[in-house]
Amino acid sequence: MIKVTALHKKYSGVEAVAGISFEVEKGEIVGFLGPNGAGKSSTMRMLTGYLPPTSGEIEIAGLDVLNHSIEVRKKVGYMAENVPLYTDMYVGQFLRYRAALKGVKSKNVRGRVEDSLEKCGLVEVRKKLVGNLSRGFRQRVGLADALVHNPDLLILDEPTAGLDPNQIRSVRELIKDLGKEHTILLSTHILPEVEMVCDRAIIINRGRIEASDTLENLSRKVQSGSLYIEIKSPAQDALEKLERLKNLSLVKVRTDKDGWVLLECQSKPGSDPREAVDELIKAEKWPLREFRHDKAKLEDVFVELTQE
Amino acid sequence: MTSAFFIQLRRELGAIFNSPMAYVIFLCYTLIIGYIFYTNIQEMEIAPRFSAFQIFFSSWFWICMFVVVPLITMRTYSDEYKTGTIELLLTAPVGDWDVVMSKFFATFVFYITLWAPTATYMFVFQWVSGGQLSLKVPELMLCYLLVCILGSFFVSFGMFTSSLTKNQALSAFLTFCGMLTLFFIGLMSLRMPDSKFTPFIEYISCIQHMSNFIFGIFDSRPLVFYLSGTALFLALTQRVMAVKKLKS
Repeated sequence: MIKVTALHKKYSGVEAVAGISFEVEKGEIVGFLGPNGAGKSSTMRMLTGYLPPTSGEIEIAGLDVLNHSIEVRKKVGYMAENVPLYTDMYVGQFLRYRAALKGVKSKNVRGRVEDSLEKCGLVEVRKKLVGNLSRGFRQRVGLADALVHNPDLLILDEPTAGLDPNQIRSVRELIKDLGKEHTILLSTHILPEVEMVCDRAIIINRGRIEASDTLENLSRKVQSGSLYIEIKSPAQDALEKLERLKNLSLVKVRTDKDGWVLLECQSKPGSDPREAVDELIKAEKWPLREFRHDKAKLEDVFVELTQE
Repeated sequence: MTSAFFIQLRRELGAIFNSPMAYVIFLCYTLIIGYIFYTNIQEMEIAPRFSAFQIFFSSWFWICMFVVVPLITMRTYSDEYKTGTIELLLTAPVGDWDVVMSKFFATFVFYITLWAPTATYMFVFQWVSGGQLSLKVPELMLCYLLVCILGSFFVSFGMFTSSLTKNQALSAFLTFCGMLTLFFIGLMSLRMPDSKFTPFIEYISCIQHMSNFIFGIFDSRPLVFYLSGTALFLALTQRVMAVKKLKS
Protein backbone atom coordinates (compact mmCIF):
# COMPACT_ATOMS: atom_id res chain seq x y z
CA MET A 1 0.00 0.00 0.00
CA ILE A 2 2.83 2.41 0.85
CA LYS A 3 6.30 2.20 -0.64
CA VAL A 4 8.79 4.85 0.38
CA THR A 5 12.26 4.87 -1.17
CA ALA A 6 15.20 7.04 -0.06
CA LEU A 7 12.99 9.89 1.09
CA HIS A 8 14.74 13.15 1.99
CA LYS A 9 13.36 16.42 3.26
CA LYS A 10 15.48 19.46 3.97
CA TYR A 11 14.32 22.72 5.54
CA SER A 12 16.78 25.53 4.91
CA GLY A 13 19.72 23.15 4.93
CA VAL A 14 18.56 21.13 7.95
CA GLU A 15 17.70 17.53 7.13
CA ALA A 16 14.37 16.65 8.76
CA VAL A 17 14.04 13.33 6.94
CA ALA A 18 17.30 11.70 5.97
CA GLY A 19 16.77 9.08 3.29
CA ILE A 20 14.21 6.76 4.84
CA SER A 21 12.75 3.73 3.08
CA PHE A 22 9.90 1.55 4.27
CA GLU A 23 6.84 -0.33 3.11
CA VAL A 24 3.40 -0.85 4.55
CA GLU A 25 1.33 -3.76 3.31
CA LYS A 26 -2.40 -3.64 2.71
CA GLY A 27 -4.43 -4.28 5.87
CA GLU A 28 -1.61 -3.52 8.30
CA ILE A 29 -1.81 -1.11 11.23
CA VAL A 30 1.64 0.38 11.52
CA GLY A 31 2.84 2.66 14.28
CA PHE A 32 5.19 5.42 13.28
CA LEU A 33 7.15 6.12 16.41
CA GLY A 34 9.64 8.74 17.30
CA PRO A 35 10.45 11.50 19.73
CA ASN A 36 9.24 15.04 19.06
CA GLY A 37 10.99 16.52 16.04
CA ALA A 38 12.08 13.12 14.69
CA GLY A 39 10.53 13.74 11.27
CA LYS A 40 7.20 11.92 11.73
CA SER A 41 4.91 14.75 10.70
CA SER A 42 7.13 15.74 7.76
CA THR A 43 7.05 12.16 6.48
CA MET A 44 3.29 11.95 6.88
CA ARG A 45 2.77 15.25 5.09
CA MET A 46 4.92 13.99 2.25
CA LEU A 47 2.87 10.80 2.09
CA THR A 48 -0.32 12.82 1.65
CA GLY A 49 1.21 14.92 -1.13
CA TYR A 50 0.94 18.10 0.93
CA LEU A 51 4.67 18.51 1.34
CA PRO A 52 6.93 17.89 -1.66
CA PRO A 53 10.02 15.83 -0.76
CA THR A 54 13.52 17.16 -1.46
CA SER A 55 14.29 13.81 -3.06
CA GLY A 56 13.10 10.23 -3.00
CA GLU A 57 10.01 8.39 -4.14
CA ILE A 58 6.68 7.66 -2.54
CA GLU A 59 4.18 5.26 -4.02
CA ILE A 60 0.71 4.82 -2.59
CA ALA A 61 -1.45 2.03 -3.99
CA GLY A 62 0.99 1.85 -6.90
CA LEU A 63 0.71 5.58 -7.73
CA ASP A 64 3.54 8.05 -7.47
CA VAL A 65 2.53 10.75 -5.00
CA LEU A 66 4.14 13.63 -6.90
CA ASN A 67 2.89 12.72 -10.36
CA HIS A 68 -0.59 11.53 -9.34
CA SER A 69 -1.14 13.78 -6.37
CA ILE A 70 -4.89 14.24 -6.79
CA GLU A 71 -5.58 10.50 -7.36
CA VAL A 72 -3.43 9.62 -4.34
CA ARG A 73 -5.30 12.10 -2.14
CA LYS A 74 -8.55 10.37 -3.10
CA LYS A 75 -7.13 7.12 -1.74
CA VAL A 76 -5.78 8.58 1.47
CA GLY A 77 -7.64 9.75 4.55
CA TYR A 78 -5.42 12.09 6.53
CA MET A 79 -5.88 13.43 10.00
CA ALA A 80 -3.36 16.16 10.70
CA GLU A 81 -1.73 16.86 14.04
CA ASN A 82 -3.83 19.37 16.05
CA VAL A 83 -6.85 18.46 13.85
CA PRO A 84 -7.53 21.69 11.98
CA LEU A 85 -11.24 22.02 11.17
CA TYR A 86 -13.60 24.70 9.87
CA THR A 87 -15.14 25.83 13.13
CA ASP A 88 -17.91 27.85 11.45
CA MET A 89 -19.55 24.72 10.01
CA TYR A 90 -21.94 22.20 11.53
CA VAL A 91 -20.58 18.68 11.95
CA GLY A 92 -22.91 17.11 9.36
CA GLN A 93 -22.48 20.02 6.97
CA PHE A 94 -18.70 19.84 7.31
CA LEU A 95 -18.63 16.11 6.54
CA ARG A 96 -20.95 16.52 3.53
CA TYR A 97 -18.67 19.23 2.17
CA ARG A 98 -15.56 17.12 2.73
CA ALA A 99 -17.14 14.03 1.17
CA ALA A 100 -18.07 16.00 -1.95
CA LEU A 101 -14.63 17.61 -2.12
CA LYS A 102 -13.00 14.20 -1.85
CA GLY A 103 -14.90 12.99 -4.87
CA VAL A 104 -17.74 10.98 -3.29
CA LYS A 105 -20.58 10.87 -5.82
CA SER A 106 -23.50 13.05 -4.79
CA LYS A 107 -25.88 10.07 -4.51
CA ASN A 108 -23.46 8.40 -2.06
CA VAL A 109 -22.59 11.45 0.04
CA ARG A 110 -25.41 10.99 2.50
CA GLY A 111 -24.64 7.32 3.07
CA ARG A 112 -20.93 7.92 3.55
CA VAL A 113 -21.54 10.79 5.97
CA GLU A 114 -24.00 8.70 8.00
CA ASP A 115 -21.53 5.83 8.10
CA SER A 116 -18.64 7.95 9.34
CA LEU A 117 -20.87 9.78 11.84
CA GLU A 118 -21.92 6.45 13.25
CA LYS A 119 -18.45 4.90 13.30
CA CYS A 120 -17.00 7.90 15.11
CA GLY A 121 -19.88 8.30 17.55
CA LEU A 122 -20.89 11.71 16.25
CA VAL A 123 -24.59 11.14 15.54
CA GLU A 124 -25.67 13.12 18.60
CA VAL A 125 -23.54 16.16 17.72
CA ARG A 126 -24.18 16.27 13.97
CA LYS A 127 -26.16 19.50 14.26
CA LYS A 128 -23.62 21.23 16.49
CA LEU A 129 -21.09 23.78 15.32
CA VAL A 130 -17.60 22.28 15.08
CA GLY A 131 -16.28 25.30 17.00
CA ASN A 132 -18.52 24.45 19.98
CA LEU A 133 -17.30 20.86 20.33
CA SER A 134 -14.94 19.57 23.01
CA ARG A 135 -11.43 18.50 22.08
CA GLY A 136 -12.43 14.82 22.12
CA PHE A 137 -15.31 15.35 19.72
CA ARG A 138 -13.18 17.49 17.43
CA GLN A 139 -10.69 14.65 17.27
CA ARG A 140 -13.55 12.37 16.27
CA VAL A 141 -14.67 14.82 13.60
CA GLY A 142 -11.10 14.75 12.28
CA LEU A 143 -11.25 10.96 12.12
CA ALA A 144 -14.69 11.03 10.50
CA ASP A 145 -13.30 13.44 7.92
CA ALA A 146 -10.36 11.13 7.24
CA LEU A 147 -12.61 8.17 6.52
CA VAL A 148 -15.65 9.88 4.97
CA HIS A 149 -14.59 8.94 1.43
CA ASN A 150 -13.82 5.38 2.48
CA PRO A 151 -10.10 5.56 1.63
CA ASP A 152 -7.85 2.54 1.34
CA LEU A 153 -5.28 4.15 3.59
CA LEU A 154 -5.65 6.18 6.76
CA ILE A 155 -2.74 8.36 7.86
CA LEU A 156 -3.27 9.60 11.39
CA ASP A 157 -0.83 12.06 12.89
CA GLU A 158 -0.92 11.78 16.69
CA PRO A 159 -4.65 11.02 16.82
CA THR A 160 -4.87 10.94 20.61
CA ALA A 161 -2.75 13.99 21.43
CA GLY A 162 -4.38 16.27 23.98
CA LEU A 163 -7.20 13.90 24.96
CA ASP A 164 -8.17 12.78 28.44
CA PRO A 165 -7.68 9.07 29.35
CA ASN A 166 -11.29 8.13 28.58
CA GLN A 167 -11.19 9.86 25.22
CA ILE A 168 -7.83 8.25 24.44
CA ARG A 169 -9.28 4.85 25.16
CA SER A 170 -12.30 5.38 22.93
CA VAL A 171 -10.24 6.79 20.05
CA ARG A 172 -7.86 3.82 20.28
CA GLU A 173 -10.79 1.40 20.20
CA LEU A 174 -12.09 3.24 17.17
CA ILE A 175 -8.74 3.02 15.38
CA LYS A 176 -8.49 -0.67 16.16
CA ASP A 177 -11.94 -1.12 14.72
CA LEU A 178 -11.08 0.86 11.60
CA GLY A 179 -8.03 -1.35 11.12
CA LYS A 180 -10.37 -4.19 10.12
CA GLU A 181 -11.26 -2.35 6.90
CA HIS A 182 -8.41 0.07 6.27
CA THR A 183 -4.63 0.13 6.16
CA ILE A 184 -3.51 2.51 8.89
CA LEU A 185 -0.29 4.39 9.45
CA LEU A 186 -0.37 6.01 12.84
CA SER A 187 2.18 8.39 14.22
CA THR A 188 2.64 8.85 17.92
CA HIS A 189 5.14 9.21 20.67
CA ILE A 190 2.81 7.51 23.14
CA LEU A 191 4.15 3.99 23.29
CA PRO A 192 1.27 2.08 24.88
CA GLU A 193 -0.81 3.30 21.96
CA VAL A 194 1.36 1.37 19.53
CA GLU A 195 1.40 -1.68 21.78
CA MET A 196 -2.38 -1.67 21.99
CA VAL A 197 -3.25 -0.86 18.43
CA CYS A 198 -0.47 -1.69 15.97
CA ASP A 199 0.83 -4.84 14.29
CA ARG A 200 4.16 -3.31 13.51
CA ALA A 201 6.23 -0.28 14.47
CA ILE A 202 8.64 1.89 12.58
CA ILE A 203 10.92 3.80 14.93
CA ILE A 204 12.29 7.02 13.52
CA ASN A 205 14.85 9.30 15.11
CA ARG A 206 16.57 12.39 13.69
CA GLY A 207 15.05 11.68 10.32
CA ARG A 208 16.36 8.11 10.13
CA ILE A 209 14.64 4.78 10.63
CA GLU A 210 16.19 3.09 13.64
CA ALA A 211 14.05 -0.03 13.51
CA SER A 212 11.09 -1.45 11.64
CA ASP A 213 9.58 -4.72 12.77
CA THR A 214 6.73 -6.40 14.62
CA LEU A 215 6.51 -5.35 18.24
CA GLU A 216 7.63 -8.79 19.43
CA ASN A 217 10.72 -8.84 17.22
CA LEU A 218 11.60 -5.30 18.21
CA SER A 219 11.53 -6.26 21.89
CA ARG A 220 13.65 -9.28 21.19
CA LYS A 221 16.22 -7.29 19.26
CA VAL A 222 16.97 -4.99 22.11
CA GLN A 223 16.78 -7.23 25.17
CA SER A 224 14.60 -10.10 26.15
CA GLY A 225 13.60 -8.55 29.45
CA SER A 226 14.23 -8.46 33.14
CA LEU A 227 14.35 -11.42 35.51
CA TYR A 228 13.48 -10.96 39.19
CA ILE A 229 14.61 -13.73 41.54
CA GLU A 230 14.14 -13.71 45.32
CA ILE A 231 16.10 -16.43 47.06
CA LYS A 232 17.49 -17.16 50.50
CA SER A 233 21.22 -17.32 50.14
CA PRO A 234 24.34 -15.35 51.01
CA ALA A 235 24.21 -12.46 48.53
CA GLN A 236 27.84 -12.70 47.46
CA ASP A 237 27.57 -16.42 46.72
CA ALA A 238 24.38 -15.98 44.67
CA LEU A 239 25.90 -13.12 42.78
CA GLU A 240 29.01 -14.98 41.78
CA LYS A 241 27.12 -18.06 40.64
CA LEU A 242 24.53 -16.15 38.66
CA GLU A 243 27.16 -14.03 36.97
CA ARG A 244 28.79 -17.16 35.66
CA LEU A 245 25.66 -17.90 33.61
CA LYS A 246 25.75 -16.83 29.98
CA ASN A 247 23.54 -14.07 28.62
CA LEU A 248 22.81 -12.62 32.00
CA SER A 249 23.94 -9.50 33.75
CA LEU A 250 23.00 -8.41 37.22
CA VAL A 251 21.51 -5.00 37.59
CA LYS A 252 20.40 -4.69 41.19
CA VAL A 253 20.78 -6.67 44.40
CA ARG A 254 18.75 -6.02 47.53
CA THR A 255 19.11 -7.97 50.74
CA ASP A 256 16.55 -7.85 53.54
CA LYS A 257 17.17 -8.62 57.20
CA ASP A 258 15.62 -12.11 57.04
CA GLY A 259 18.31 -13.20 54.59
CA TRP A 260 16.24 -13.01 51.44
CA VAL A 261 18.07 -11.60 48.42
CA LEU A 262 16.21 -9.95 45.54
CA LEU A 263 18.22 -10.04 42.34
CA GLU A 264 17.24 -8.13 39.22
CA CYS A 265 18.95 -9.52 36.14
CA GLN A 266 18.93 -8.33 32.57
CA SER A 267 19.12 -10.83 29.76
CA LYS A 268 20.99 -10.17 26.53
CA PRO A 269 19.11 -9.51 23.26
CA GLY A 270 17.69 -12.67 21.72
CA SER A 271 18.39 -14.87 24.76
CA ASP A 272 16.20 -16.47 27.38
CA PRO A 273 18.19 -17.45 30.49
CA ARG A 274 15.20 -18.63 32.56
CA GLU A 275 15.93 -22.36 32.22
CA ALA A 276 19.57 -21.96 33.19
CA VAL A 277 18.64 -19.86 36.23
CA ASP A 278 16.00 -22.39 37.26
CA GLU A 279 18.53 -25.24 37.05
CA LEU A 280 21.05 -23.27 39.11
CA ILE A 281 18.48 -22.55 41.84
CA LYS A 282 17.54 -26.24 41.96
CA ALA A 283 21.17 -27.36 42.03
CA GLU A 284 22.04 -24.93 44.81
CA LYS A 285 18.80 -25.73 46.65
CA TRP A 286 18.18 -22.07 47.29
CA PRO A 287 14.77 -21.43 48.83
CA LEU A 288 12.83 -19.46 46.24
CA ARG A 289 10.15 -16.85 46.98
CA GLU A 290 9.81 -15.07 43.63
CA PHE A 291 10.73 -15.88 40.05
CA ARG A 292 9.39 -13.34 37.61
CA HIS A 293 10.23 -12.52 34.02
CA ASP A 294 9.15 -9.19 32.51
CA LYS A 295 9.35 -8.94 28.76
CA ALA A 296 11.03 -5.85 27.39
CA LYS A 297 8.50 -3.13 26.77
CA LEU A 298 8.38 -1.08 23.63
CA GLU A 299 9.34 1.81 25.85
CA ASP A 300 12.70 0.15 26.54
CA VAL A 301 13.21 -0.42 22.84
CA PHE A 302 12.26 3.16 22.12
CA VAL A 303 14.58 4.62 24.73
CA GLU A 304 17.47 2.44 23.64
CA LEU A 305 17.07 3.37 19.98
CA THR A 306 16.32 7.03 20.30
CA GLN A 307 18.24 8.30 23.29
CA GLU A 308 21.06 10.76 22.70
CA MET B 1 -13.02 24.45 -13.80
CA THR B 2 -13.23 21.17 -11.92
CA SER B 3 -16.04 20.04 -9.66
CA ALA B 4 -13.68 20.60 -6.72
CA PHE B 5 -13.67 24.30 -7.69
CA PHE B 6 -17.45 24.58 -7.45
CA ILE B 7 -17.59 22.65 -4.17
CA GLN B 8 -14.88 24.87 -2.75
CA LEU B 9 -16.55 28.01 -4.13
CA ARG B 10 -19.73 27.01 -2.30
CA ARG B 11 -17.76 26.53 0.88
CA GLU B 12 -16.05 29.94 0.50
CA LEU B 13 -19.34 31.70 -0.21
CA GLY B 14 -20.85 29.94 2.81
CA ALA B 15 -17.92 31.06 4.97
CA ILE B 16 -18.51 34.67 3.91
CA PHE B 17 -22.29 34.87 3.91
CA ASN B 18 -22.81 32.76 7.04
CA SER B 19 -20.61 35.04 9.06
CA PRO B 20 -22.19 37.94 10.96
CA MET B 21 -19.17 40.05 9.97
CA ALA B 22 -20.36 40.08 6.33
CA TYR B 23 -23.70 41.59 7.35
CA VAL B 24 -22.09 44.13 9.65
CA ILE B 25 -19.83 45.26 6.79
CA PHE B 26 -22.78 45.27 4.39
CA LEU B 27 -24.97 47.33 6.70
CA CYS B 28 -22.30 49.89 7.55
CA TYR B 29 -21.26 50.16 3.94
CA THR B 30 -24.79 50.68 2.67
CA LEU B 31 -25.50 53.32 5.33
CA ILE B 32 -22.26 55.20 4.65
CA ILE B 33 -22.63 55.13 0.86
CA GLY B 34 -26.31 56.06 1.18
CA TYR B 35 -25.37 59.10 3.26
CA ILE B 36 -22.56 60.09 0.87
CA PHE B 37 -24.94 59.82 -2.05
CA TYR B 38 -27.46 61.99 -0.24
CA THR B 39 -24.81 64.70 0.27
CA ASN B 40 -23.77 64.37 -3.38
CA ILE B 41 -27.34 65.04 -4.47
CA GLN B 42 -27.33 68.15 -2.28
CA GLU B 43 -24.13 69.22 -4.09
CA MET B 44 -26.01 68.83 -7.39
CA GLU B 45 -28.37 71.58 -6.26
CA ILE B 46 -25.39 73.95 -5.91
CA ALA B 47 -23.44 72.84 -9.00
CA PRO B 48 -25.78 70.92 -11.29
CA ARG B 49 -23.05 70.43 -13.94
CA PHE B 50 -22.28 66.95 -12.67
CA SER B 51 -24.52 64.06 -11.84
CA ALA B 52 -24.44 62.68 -8.27
CA PHE B 53 -22.67 59.49 -9.36
CA GLN B 54 -19.99 61.51 -11.13
CA ILE B 55 -19.32 63.43 -7.93
CA PHE B 56 -19.31 60.19 -5.94
CA PHE B 57 -16.94 58.25 -8.22
CA SER B 58 -14.47 61.08 -8.40
CA SER B 59 -14.23 61.58 -4.63
CA TRP B 60 -15.72 59.38 -1.90
CA PHE B 61 -15.56 56.24 -3.96
CA TRP B 62 -11.84 55.83 -3.32
CA ILE B 63 -12.16 56.05 0.44
CA CYS B 64 -14.90 53.41 0.41
CA MET B 65 -12.75 51.21 -1.83
CA PHE B 66 -9.64 51.55 0.34
CA VAL B 67 -11.57 50.59 3.44
CA VAL B 68 -13.66 47.74 2.12
CA VAL B 69 -11.15 45.73 0.03
CA PRO B 70 -8.65 45.14 2.87
CA LEU B 71 -11.56 44.19 5.14
CA ILE B 72 -13.00 41.57 2.82
CA THR B 73 -9.71 40.06 1.63
CA MET B 74 -7.67 39.95 4.84
CA ARG B 75 -9.01 36.60 6.08
CA THR B 76 -8.94 34.66 2.79
CA TYR B 77 -5.58 32.98 3.44
CA SER B 78 -4.35 34.42 6.75
CA ASP B 79 -7.12 32.63 8.59
CA GLU B 80 -6.39 29.30 6.86
CA TYR B 81 -2.70 29.56 7.73
CA LYS B 82 -3.35 30.66 11.29
CA THR B 83 -5.80 27.86 12.09
CA GLY B 84 -3.94 25.25 10.03
CA THR B 85 -6.99 24.50 7.86
CA ILE B 86 -4.87 25.07 4.74
CA GLU B 87 -3.44 21.60 5.43
CA LEU B 88 -6.97 20.20 5.68
CA LEU B 89 -7.78 21.83 2.36
CA LEU B 90 -4.66 20.88 0.44
CA THR B 91 -4.61 17.25 1.54
CA ALA B 92 -8.04 16.83 -0.07
CA PRO B 93 -8.06 16.07 -3.80
CA VAL B 94 -8.23 19.71 -4.81
CA GLY B 95 -5.69 21.59 -6.93
CA ASP B 96 -3.96 24.79 -5.85
CA TRP B 97 -5.68 26.71 -8.64
CA ASP B 98 -9.11 25.45 -7.57
CA VAL B 99 -8.40 26.91 -4.15
CA VAL B 100 -7.08 30.23 -5.50
CA MET B 101 -9.94 30.73 -7.95
CA SER B 102 -12.68 29.69 -5.53
CA LYS B 103 -11.40 32.15 -2.94
CA PHE B 104 -11.08 34.87 -5.55
CA PHE B 105 -14.56 34.43 -6.99
CA ALA B 106 -16.21 34.16 -3.57
CA THR B 107 -14.54 37.38 -2.38
CA PHE B 108 -15.32 39.08 -5.67
CA VAL B 109 -18.99 38.09 -5.37
CA PHE B 110 -19.05 39.69 -1.92
CA TYR B 111 -17.36 42.78 -3.30
CA ILE B 112 -19.99 43.05 -6.06
CA THR B 113 -22.75 42.46 -3.49
CA LEU B 114 -21.47 45.45 -1.54
CA TRP B 115 -21.51 47.71 -4.62
CA ALA B 116 -24.68 46.38 -6.27
CA PRO B 117 -27.22 48.44 -4.25
CA THR B 118 -25.43 51.67 -5.20
CA ALA B 119 -26.18 51.01 -8.88
CA THR B 120 -29.87 51.48 -8.14
CA TYR B 121 -29.43 54.84 -6.38
CA MET B 122 -29.47 56.91 -9.57
CA PHE B 123 -32.58 55.13 -10.82
CA VAL B 124 -34.30 55.73 -7.48
CA PHE B 125 -33.30 59.38 -7.60
CA GLN B 126 -34.60 59.67 -11.17
CA TRP B 127 -37.90 58.18 -10.05
CA VAL B 128 -38.19 60.36 -6.92
CA SER B 129 -37.31 63.56 -8.78
CA GLY B 130 -39.83 62.82 -11.51
CA GLY B 131 -37.18 62.41 -14.26
CA GLN B 132 -35.97 66.01 -14.16
CA LEU B 133 -32.35 65.07 -14.94
CA SER B 134 -30.98 62.90 -17.70
CA LEU B 135 -29.74 59.60 -16.25
CA LYS B 136 -26.49 59.25 -18.28
CA VAL B 137 -26.81 55.47 -18.39
CA PRO B 138 -23.71 54.78 -20.58
CA GLU B 139 -21.46 56.76 -18.21
CA LEU B 140 -22.99 54.99 -15.25
CA MET B 141 -22.40 51.61 -16.87
CA LEU B 142 -18.79 52.49 -17.64
CA CYS B 143 -18.26 53.49 -14.01
CA TYR B 144 -19.57 50.13 -12.84
CA LEU B 145 -17.43 48.32 -15.40
CA LEU B 146 -14.41 50.01 -13.84
CA VAL B 147 -15.71 49.21 -10.34
CA CYS B 148 -15.72 45.54 -11.38
CA ILE B 149 -12.30 45.32 -13.01
CA LEU B 150 -10.66 47.60 -10.46
CA GLY B 151 -12.28 45.41 -7.79
CA SER B 152 -10.94 42.21 -9.32
CA PHE B 153 -7.45 43.77 -9.35
CA PHE B 154 -7.58 44.98 -5.75
CA VAL B 155 -9.23 41.77 -4.49
CA SER B 156 -6.49 39.67 -6.10
CA PHE B 157 -3.89 41.98 -4.53
CA GLY B 158 -5.60 41.67 -1.14
CA MET B 159 -5.61 37.87 -1.47
CA PHE B 160 -1.92 37.96 -2.31
CA THR B 161 -1.06 39.95 0.82
CA SER B 162 -3.30 37.63 2.85
CA SER B 163 -1.34 34.63 1.53
CA LEU B 164 1.89 36.21 2.78
CA THR B 165 1.00 36.38 6.47
CA LYS B 166 -0.96 34.65 9.23
CA ASN B 167 -1.81 38.05 10.65
CA GLN B 168 -5.10 39.42 9.26
CA ALA B 169 -4.43 42.96 10.47
CA LEU B 170 -1.03 43.00 8.76
CA SER B 171 -2.58 41.70 5.55
CA ALA B 172 -5.25 44.44 5.65
CA PHE B 173 -2.58 47.07 6.29
CA LEU B 174 -0.41 45.84 3.38
CA THR B 175 -3.42 45.85 1.04
CA PHE B 176 -4.36 49.35 2.17
CA CYS B 177 -0.79 50.61 1.62
CA GLY B 178 -0.58 48.99 -1.82
CA MET B 179 -3.85 50.52 -2.95
CA LEU B 180 -2.91 53.90 -1.54
CA THR B 181 0.46 53.77 -3.34
CA LEU B 182 -1.25 53.18 -6.68
CA PHE B 183 -3.66 56.02 -5.89
CA PHE B 184 -0.88 58.49 -5.06
CA ILE B 185 1.16 57.52 -8.12
CA GLY B 186 -1.97 58.55 -10.06
CA LEU B 187 -2.10 61.87 -8.24
CA MET B 188 1.50 62.54 -9.30
CA SER B 189 0.39 62.78 -12.93
CA LEU B 190 -1.78 65.76 -11.93
CA ARG B 191 1.10 67.36 -10.01
CA MET B 192 3.70 67.09 -12.76
CA PRO B 193 1.90 67.00 -16.11
CA ASP B 194 5.08 67.52 -18.18
CA SER B 195 7.33 64.84 -16.69
CA LYS B 196 8.77 62.12 -18.96
CA PHE B 197 7.12 59.58 -16.65
CA THR B 198 3.67 61.11 -17.09
CA PRO B 199 2.51 58.78 -19.91
CA PHE B 200 3.45 55.74 -17.82
CA ILE B 201 1.89 57.19 -14.67
CA GLU B 202 -1.28 58.00 -16.58
CA TYR B 203 -1.36 54.44 -17.88
CA ILE B 204 -1.42 52.99 -14.37
CA SER B 205 -3.33 55.84 -12.71
CA CYS B 206 -6.66 54.63 -11.34
CA ILE B 207 -7.82 58.23 -10.84
CA GLN B 208 -7.14 58.95 -14.50
CA HIS B 209 -9.02 55.81 -15.56
CA MET B 210 -12.02 56.72 -13.47
CA SER B 211 -12.12 60.33 -14.63
CA ASN B 212 -12.22 59.09 -18.24
CA PHE B 213 -14.94 56.56 -17.54
CA ILE B 214 -17.24 58.87 -15.55
CA PHE B 215 -17.42 61.20 -18.54
CA GLY B 216 -18.18 58.35 -20.89
CA ILE B 217 -14.70 57.98 -22.47
CA PHE B 218 -14.12 54.29 -22.93
CA ASP B 219 -10.50 53.25 -22.94
CA SER B 220 -9.56 49.59 -23.30
CA ARG B 221 -6.08 50.04 -21.77
CA PRO B 222 -7.28 50.03 -18.13
CA LEU B 223 -9.14 46.79 -18.86
CA VAL B 224 -5.92 45.15 -20.04
CA PHE B 225 -3.96 46.65 -17.15
CA TYR B 226 -6.34 45.57 -14.37
CA LEU B 227 -7.18 42.15 -15.79
CA SER B 228 -3.53 41.27 -16.40
CA GLY B 229 -2.74 42.65 -12.92
CA THR B 230 -5.45 40.37 -11.50
CA ALA B 231 -3.94 37.37 -13.30
CA LEU B 232 -0.48 38.32 -12.02
CA PHE B 233 -1.53 38.55 -8.36
CA LEU B 234 -3.56 35.33 -8.57
CA ALA B 235 -0.50 33.58 -10.02
CA LEU B 236 1.69 35.07 -7.28
CA THR B 237 -0.81 33.87 -4.67
CA GLN B 238 -0.59 30.34 -6.08
CA ARG B 239 3.22 30.56 -5.98
CA VAL B 240 3.15 31.72 -2.34
CA MET B 241 0.94 28.72 -1.52
CA ALA B 242 3.42 26.39 -3.21
CA VAL B 243 6.42 27.97 -1.47
CA LYS B 244 4.69 27.88 1.92
CA LYS B 245 4.01 24.19 1.42
CA LEU B 246 7.72 23.62 0.89
CA LYS B 247 8.47 25.30 4.21
CA SER B 248 5.57 23.90 6.26
